[in-house]
Amino acid sequence: MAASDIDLGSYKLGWSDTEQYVYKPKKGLNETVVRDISHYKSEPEWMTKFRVNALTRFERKPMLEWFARNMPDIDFDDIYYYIKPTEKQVSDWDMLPEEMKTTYERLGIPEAERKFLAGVTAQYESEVVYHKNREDLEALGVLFTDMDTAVREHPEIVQQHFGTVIPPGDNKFAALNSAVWSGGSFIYVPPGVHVDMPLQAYFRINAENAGQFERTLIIADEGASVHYVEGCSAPVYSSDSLHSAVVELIAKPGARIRYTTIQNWSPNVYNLVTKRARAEAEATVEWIDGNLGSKLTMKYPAVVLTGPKAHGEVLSVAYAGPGQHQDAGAKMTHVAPETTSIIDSKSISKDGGRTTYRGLVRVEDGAYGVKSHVRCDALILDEESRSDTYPYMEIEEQDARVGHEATVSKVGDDQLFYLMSRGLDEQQATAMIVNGFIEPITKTLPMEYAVELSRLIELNMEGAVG
Amino acid sequence: MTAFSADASRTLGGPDWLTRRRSAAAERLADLVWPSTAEEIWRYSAVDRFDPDRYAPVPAGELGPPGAEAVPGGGLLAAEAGERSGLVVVRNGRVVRHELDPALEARGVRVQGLATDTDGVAEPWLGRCSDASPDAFTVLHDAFLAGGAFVHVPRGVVVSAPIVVLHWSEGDGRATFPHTLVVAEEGSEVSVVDRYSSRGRDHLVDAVVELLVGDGAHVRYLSVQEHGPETWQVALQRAHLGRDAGLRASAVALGGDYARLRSETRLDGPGAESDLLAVYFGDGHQMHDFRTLQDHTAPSTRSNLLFKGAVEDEAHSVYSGLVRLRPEAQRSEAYQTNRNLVLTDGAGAESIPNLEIEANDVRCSHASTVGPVDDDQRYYLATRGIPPEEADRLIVMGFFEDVLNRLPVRSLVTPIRAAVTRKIEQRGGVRA
Repeated sequence: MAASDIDLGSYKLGWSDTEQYVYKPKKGLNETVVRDISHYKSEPEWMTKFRVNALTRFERKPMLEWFARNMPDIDFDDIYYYIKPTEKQVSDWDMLPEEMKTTYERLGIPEAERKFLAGVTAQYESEVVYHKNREDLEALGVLFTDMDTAVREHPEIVQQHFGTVIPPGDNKFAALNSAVWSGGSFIYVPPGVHVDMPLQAYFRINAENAGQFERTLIIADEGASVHYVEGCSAPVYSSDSLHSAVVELIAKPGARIRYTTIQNWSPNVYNLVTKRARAEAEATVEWIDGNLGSKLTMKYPAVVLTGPKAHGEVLSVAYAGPGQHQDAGAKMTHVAPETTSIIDSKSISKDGGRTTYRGLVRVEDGAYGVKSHVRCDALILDEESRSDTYPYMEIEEQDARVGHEATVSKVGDDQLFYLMSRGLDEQQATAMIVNGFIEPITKTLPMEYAVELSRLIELNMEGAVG
Repeated sequence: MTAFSADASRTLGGPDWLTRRRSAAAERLADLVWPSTAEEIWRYSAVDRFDPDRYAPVPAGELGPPGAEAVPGGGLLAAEAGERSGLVVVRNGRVVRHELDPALEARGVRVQGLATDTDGVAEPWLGRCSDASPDAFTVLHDAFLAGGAFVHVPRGVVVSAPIVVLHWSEGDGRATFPHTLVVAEEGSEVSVVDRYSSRGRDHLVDAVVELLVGDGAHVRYLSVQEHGPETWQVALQRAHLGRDAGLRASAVALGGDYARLRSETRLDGPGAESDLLAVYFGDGHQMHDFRTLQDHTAPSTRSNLLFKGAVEDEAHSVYSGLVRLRPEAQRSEAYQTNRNLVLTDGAGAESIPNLEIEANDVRCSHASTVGPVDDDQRYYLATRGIPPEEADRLIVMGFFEDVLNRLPVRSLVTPIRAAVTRKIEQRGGVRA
């Protein structure tokens, strides 16, 4: 995308900082780069092997045809795979380098921490630069660190779970992440512990042509519960950046994990994320996914329901503005009997944006008593925009009830008329209708995030004529 | 690709215009690549089991000269064809008999075989639809098209009773290429019924149906497929609709080993409307495979689709449909519904209803379900003293009834309902 195509006006997080990095290797990807990353991080032998093995898989795996069609111009050799922004991680906000502090303050991170969060991680480029956990949680045995620290300090838990939900060979981008991953969050909640306030992470890409490959692993042990919230942003550059994360969630029997993402990358970021959860017996996993930014997002949060009576949910909102393509969806794999799932997807496309829902509900043979319901609603706000729905259903078990419904529409003339007859102008009325449309999702968010999401949508809607 | 050679295609004869079309397709045979399930449009299909070497086209000698009827009067099938204004009997892809109400003939309606169309009346129409959506099987079809049925209704003529086309295919290891071409000119009305039957070990039916519905014309079309248990069917049914045209098309699929139908409708003229229905029931190891396309290329068009299927034993079904609203299709409406009953453990149904919407002032929705027979319904019938097997049969028939009841050719609703019932009962009822 050429620089002139980017509408800086509507993306409010698009500034960039002066680059002052401790380590920034050459662009491109090969075994030396991978070994260097592992060496820099003083990783144990098994992780180095894991990375090198993943690199071979990445090189061997062909680019899927529909991936290639969505991003014809990606060049894996024109990306910085690892950038180390600062010498060491801090837990005192004032010790962060000035540029980063300004960035995060502009993004409202310390404020968020003070207000309502149980713990905060901030990742800048490849490394986590700031991390703070609430002390009472530490006392309960909750582990919340960045992934690199976890590999060093909690090797037994990490090695047992890392890459078990999403193996490196899962897909090309999971293989890429497995080879060059850096940063991300690690959370372990011991049996029966309920973390009552959300844990938060914030991801920021700053350098041009940078790739961010964070790796998150969350384990909720038996009967535990946790809510994790992540946000992301990047500067607007003329050339593209790549964000390719891997997120693995493990909900042990009776546990509950809620994972909320408000993705607001700048419109020059390719966002290709593999997110998958394993829900064991009677566990619940909820993915709440807001996709507002990026040039192209391809993300299909998945829940593999491996234990009886497990429940999976994906609630998502996608907004595609000029030049954006939000190819998002969900995947539910019912392996165990009496498992249930809900997918609720809302999308809005405007000014030539394109939204796609792509999903799969799969019921394996023997998974009796499964119930699954998928609902997709799309709003198309003008003539240039488009919306696609590709919901797959594969049912191998007779005794499964699976349903799908979708609607595509514009903002209703009668709804507009009603609101305008109450004194709102067309833009306000449209924004209100759109906010009402996504309300089922926003009401599941912590209040501050709900307000942020609504505000982001309103900002994007400015100048909209329904 | 041994038996399907350009030489074999040349022996079929017929009028020059038809031979030319055949040989153009035959030239492409050498480079033909058979599809695989890696292609999205063939995903979940049985095409990986397809082996072209198991089949050979019916040689010209066996087909006999066009118009020579092997079974006088259309045989048994014709007996239950019911009220009709015309009858065409197609044996192994070639018309062997055709008749039409003389009053309609006098008004210029034409019902005949393509192989005896020496004036080339059909030439400008043939391939209008199928050429717009080719695949390896339509190329093969075009190369071995022996001479299917041609129905032509001139401007403003109304044909009230249906024209019935009976397709009968037979022969072990044979491939046949039935074709039905319906041209309804501006403001005309016609009902056409295609009934397919076949027998033989390893039989391949590669069929094409083209429905050209002119401005303001109305076509009702019904296809009933009762192929033999070893027949493979790979068929394309495609309709193009002009301004204010109307199409009510439906498909009933009961037979075949693997039976695939691509059902495509393109709404080219403003105000065009199409209504598509299907009922399918598979048992044993049958597989029914439907791929539908509702392609809206003009404003103020409307399409509605309802496909209902049931599978039992080890049978599988695939429904994959796409609603495409192009940027020009403002103020259009499109609806798509697929419902599946899975009656036994071991049976399975795939359902993929897709939408691609490029216009904003539209109404569009789809829904699909896959599930077992509802226990509440069973319970209700049990409390009324109805034995479980009978109850399931009633529930399945009730499930199909809203489609059967809307079939576009009224006179055939009763015989088709009987055929579906027969099929359900034939295996000793539905097992819970």
